[in-house]
Amino acid sequence: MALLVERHHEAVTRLLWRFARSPADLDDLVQETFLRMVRGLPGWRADQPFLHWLFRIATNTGRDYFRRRTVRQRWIADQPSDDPEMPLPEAVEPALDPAARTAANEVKTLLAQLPPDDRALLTLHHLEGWGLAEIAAQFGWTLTATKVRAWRARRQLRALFESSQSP
Amino acid sequence: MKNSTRSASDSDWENLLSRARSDAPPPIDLTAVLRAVREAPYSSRSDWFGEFLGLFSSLRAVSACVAGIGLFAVFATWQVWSVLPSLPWAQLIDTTTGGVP
Repeated sequence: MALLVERHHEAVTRLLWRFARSPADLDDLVQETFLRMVRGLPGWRADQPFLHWLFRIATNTGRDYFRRRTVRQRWIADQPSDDPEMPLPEAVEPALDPAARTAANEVKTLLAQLPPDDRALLTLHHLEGWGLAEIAAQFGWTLTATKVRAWRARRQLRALFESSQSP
Repeated sequence: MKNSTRSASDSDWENLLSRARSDAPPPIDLTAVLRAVREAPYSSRSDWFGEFLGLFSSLRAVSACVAGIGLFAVFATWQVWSVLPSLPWAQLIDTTTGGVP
């Protein structure tokens, strides 16, 4: 089991970093993914690639994380505190490429304003470069539904981006 | 004018995305992950009940049902065909129509 973690943790971490808003959240997501892997291992069939199966667990973990954050955001929306999507303790964990980190945070902040499923879809499409067919297969959606969802989400994201650009 | 604004916005967006994609993840606490995985209960499906339940998972159950229905249909048709002349309603048709079905 430890061998599987050691072999695949880099790929899983890279994928889940697209979802996570902070290094602490990333730790939690990676741990949750591998725990789900352990629990689901008896259900894995040898005729499907292991990494593909593991990525499905990771993307579902990421999607659940978005859903939890959305619920929490709604719950504390009435309280006069900072936006929960805003605080990013990157100052503690300096990035290798600060410009890339700033850009990634900017994109994640825009994506955070979308519904959880749209957010997961565009996170994989824009940040990870996945095709819509691949995303549809991961989440168990039809390709047509995924295309429609992506079109709507992109339109919404464009409006958000343009409003963030305007002074 | 509007098109040029939109294309400028598109180009800004593409630039932002390409920079964002090159963001590398911070290091994770691998020791904690390994510890959590080692301590997690692992339930292997080695008992007969688990194997039995495994037969009914996902598409395998659907294809097994379809195959079963097909086999049953073939068997039932064959059986009915073999006893058709001795069935009372078949004899009734035979006598009323003079053998013409």
